[in-house]
Amino acid sequence: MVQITQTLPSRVLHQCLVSLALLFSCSLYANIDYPIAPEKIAKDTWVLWGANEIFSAKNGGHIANIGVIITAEASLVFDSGPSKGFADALNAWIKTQGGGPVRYVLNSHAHPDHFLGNQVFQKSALMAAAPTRDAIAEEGSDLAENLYRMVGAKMQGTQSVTPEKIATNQRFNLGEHQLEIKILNGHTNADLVLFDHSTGVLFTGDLVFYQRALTTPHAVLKDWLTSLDQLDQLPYKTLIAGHGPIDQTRSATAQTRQYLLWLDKVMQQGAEQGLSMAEMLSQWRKNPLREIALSEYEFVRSLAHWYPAYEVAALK
Amino acid sequence: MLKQKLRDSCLLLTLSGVLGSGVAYSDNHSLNAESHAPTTQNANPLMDVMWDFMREQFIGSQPWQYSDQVKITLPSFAEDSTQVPVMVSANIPQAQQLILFADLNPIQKIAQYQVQQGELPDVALQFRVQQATPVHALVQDQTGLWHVGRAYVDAAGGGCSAPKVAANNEDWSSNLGQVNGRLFQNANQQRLKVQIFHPMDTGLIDGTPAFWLNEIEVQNEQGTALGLLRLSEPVSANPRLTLNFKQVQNQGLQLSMRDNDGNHFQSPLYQSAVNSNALETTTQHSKGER
Repeated sequence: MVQITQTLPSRVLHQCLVSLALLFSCSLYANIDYPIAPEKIAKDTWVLWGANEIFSAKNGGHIANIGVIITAEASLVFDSGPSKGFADALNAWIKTQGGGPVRYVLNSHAHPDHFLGNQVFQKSALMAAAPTRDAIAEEGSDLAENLYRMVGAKMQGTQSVTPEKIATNQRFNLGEHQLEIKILNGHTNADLVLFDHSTGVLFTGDLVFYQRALTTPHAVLKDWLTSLDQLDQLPYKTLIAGHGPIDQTRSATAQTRQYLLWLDKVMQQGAEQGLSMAEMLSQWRKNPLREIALSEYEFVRSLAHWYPAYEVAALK
Repeated sequence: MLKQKLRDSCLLLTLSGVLGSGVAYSDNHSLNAESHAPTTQNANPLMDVMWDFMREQFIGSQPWQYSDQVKITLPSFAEDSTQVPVMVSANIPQAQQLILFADLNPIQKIAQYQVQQGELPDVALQFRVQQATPVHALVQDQTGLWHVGRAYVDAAGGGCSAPKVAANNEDWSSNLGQVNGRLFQNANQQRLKVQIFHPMDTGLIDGTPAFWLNEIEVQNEQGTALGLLRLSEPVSANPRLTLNFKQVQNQGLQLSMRDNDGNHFQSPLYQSAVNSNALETTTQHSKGER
């Protein structure tokens, strides 16, 4: 840099440079805007719909559905989103609604599109199941780094923050809402769902994907199927999947189950025919659900996650 | 000396990788490369900066041409950069050998298959990528001409130099060289699929010397060599290999394998389900004779 001697003109120059730099960084910051469009789906209950896409600079990583319940007493956020920028926008919007402070921020599971907005909220509000907390503590920074790679500038300032409070199966009230947390598993080793007995709204996190192919990097087929059965026991009227549109006809869990069973079947058949992993790449075309979003992309990923085990089993 | 050379070329390559990254996924492109006929037109000079250099390393100044008869099946992106699936199937009459390599890997060569008797099988395996890279498959015919197929895989990278879980697992030594396999008889095709337990250490991780399975002789049931498959360090740990023969039928296959440490491993003789009954009778018979 320029060497600055302590003469008056250069000090002025220095101050100018500093303010210029500040101005520039502010304008950079201002450019990071997340155009959020919360939609009211039930009393006091809002959803910020994620794009049915993979992570990109354009969607800023906001691909998962984010739920909000706002009451005069306090507010709740179901999943904090992919980045600081997103959560800032969310938090600012919540304040404009005139509700009580955000007392609960639930992390449904430890995937980056669901918890990387944590840093914006009070640390004491952050809550997750114990295995989710452990996974965020261990892998959170790596996951954030990978998201920087895929999303870019909109990740600016984002840091992984591990929730403090452990969520267990529990019931609690938020204003007039009788809420219930259930800890299931299958999509990951812990998947938190939130059921609002008062409105009949169920936030499933990524245990349910609707009109969008499943992601499986930490999935366990049997556990996932069991959890879907448990969700079906709940008297919900409206289901908000982790990804995909609103479900008011109780058909989203069935679609997720159908997709899972198809994955299992196609991989088992492929392994029994001796197909190599490379040959399996084109099998997504046989999926009856191939028209849903990202079915080819996610199938290629699921092959990497699951197919080796099917291959090995078929050789024994 | 050689390592230094590799490192230098890596530096060069990183630049082209930066230019090339961002090909992650788009709805307009098919996700697997099989539909991309590798012709001169779509061989991308920006991506393939190393092609001329690498080609000279492998085939010198021998004649070559791009050919859509050499098909590389590869995902467009690596979900797991330590396990990128690839299959090469060549429709080249009387093919003599196959060389498969990834241009921008620190160790480029993946595998080579030399035909000793009969045909060049389709070869499928998984390999590691260090970054996004073109992949080339070169198949030589009887006249000496090389037919070249090309594909491209995008990757976040690190597959060659990331310490793997298996390296921390002491169990590998007790399973070393163990083979699970099966012969599949599909319509007019016979394929051998095996998994071999071997750490396949690349030597690119500090403190872990290169240790990999480098020679696999494919034999028929009489022990006659059909071909020699040479694997290089980038092949994934505990390799799962598929060899698909279109002309060999109703014939048992077995593998005689060696690693760079001189260990020798012999697979069982694999029979197709149709034939195995007949064989059991023969085996019992020969036992009786003894």
